[in-house]
Amino acid sequence: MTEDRTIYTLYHGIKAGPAAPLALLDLVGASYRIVSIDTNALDHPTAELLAVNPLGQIPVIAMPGGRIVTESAAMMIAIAEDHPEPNMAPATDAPERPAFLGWMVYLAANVYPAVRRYFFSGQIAESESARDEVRRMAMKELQRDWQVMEAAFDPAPYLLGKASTALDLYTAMLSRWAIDQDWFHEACSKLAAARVPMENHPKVLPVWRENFLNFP
Amino acid sequence: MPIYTLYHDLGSTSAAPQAMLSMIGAPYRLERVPLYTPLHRTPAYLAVNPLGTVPSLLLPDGETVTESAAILLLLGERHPEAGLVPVPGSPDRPRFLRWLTYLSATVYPPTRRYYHLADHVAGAAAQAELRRTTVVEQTRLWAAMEAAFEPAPYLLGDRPSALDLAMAMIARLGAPESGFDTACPRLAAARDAIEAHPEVAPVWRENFPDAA
Repeated sequence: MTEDRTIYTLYHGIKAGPAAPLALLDLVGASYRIVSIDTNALDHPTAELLAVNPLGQIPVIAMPGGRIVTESAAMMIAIAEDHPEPNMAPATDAPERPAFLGWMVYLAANVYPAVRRYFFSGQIAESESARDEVRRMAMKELQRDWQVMEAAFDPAPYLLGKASTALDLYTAMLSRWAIDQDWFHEACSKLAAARVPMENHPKVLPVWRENFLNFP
Repeated sequence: MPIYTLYHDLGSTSAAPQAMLSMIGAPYRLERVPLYTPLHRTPAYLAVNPLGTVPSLLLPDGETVTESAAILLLLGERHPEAGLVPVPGSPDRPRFLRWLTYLSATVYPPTRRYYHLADHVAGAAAQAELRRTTVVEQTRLWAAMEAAFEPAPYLLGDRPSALDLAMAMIARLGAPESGFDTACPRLAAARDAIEAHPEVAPVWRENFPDAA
């Protein structure tokens, strides 16, 4: 494959991949190519993936020019900042900027680690009973993390106001993982309502349908 | 002059934001919210930070930012003249965002877990096992970062940045048996460089009195 350094290269899972960075590329109208990674084989990452991320995890993005960014939140902020139009990250002097940065990091540093512990309990606990308990405690923490976020927002209709941002995409993606959807609708009705217009955006909907098995 | 208020506790993830405020030379006052006390759950503090964690930064305009990494990013944007965060559009920005997020979202969770084993499993045997896997995870994550940097003497080159502060802070919070100094000599050297900065050293002495 010839390397084109004028476009983004996203290392993405085939089905059930991390949809938010991919949808963001579509939303900002970026040119990109996808390197498909078999998510069922991530215990044995390919040399191609290891070359860009020594942890062997996805997503990974090579920015135009070749700089590698891992971590969904980091790459979403970087992609949004590269495209002032449409503005998917509030400008640095915008009043929404503190909340944007704070909640992007909140999701990355609190919600996502709990999701990971729930899905990959076997990485930190060996016996079946310990794994069950790690999962149970991870779910408890995840529910609390979502409830804290629910209490902090009054979406209108998006999380930060009239305009959608990368925070809507990231929230929508993480809220489709691990958490029971009936529970989420019940306990986090404002967050659940805010993800509706984001997920139904014509550029987001096909990505969501492709990547979330439980997407209606 | 407008003033920041940093809600903090000693030896916590508020150390880097506090040191950054000092490096910027911005006027700030400290409001201590001691960890593991009911002070984290008072309505007054939960109004500042609904998760009840530190740090939180109250901005001069009355807005609040939570999460250590977000505070570092925001202070960098509000004080570009300090040169501590690559501004949006600059060549170092993607790398900065990547590794700052890596520290917060990937390295910090097992760093924190080590001190809160009982939040994850019950029983001495299961907790001992969790401690072991958590140390192994920390060692592996630091090794991946060590391989990605050639500090000169700081992580991004000859100028200190908020990434040095975040790295040094989380390294100081890491499990002693993860072997950071031996396994990550380049990161350890960058950590020592930022910790020797005249604005950082007093903050670090207060926050991490056991550090060499």
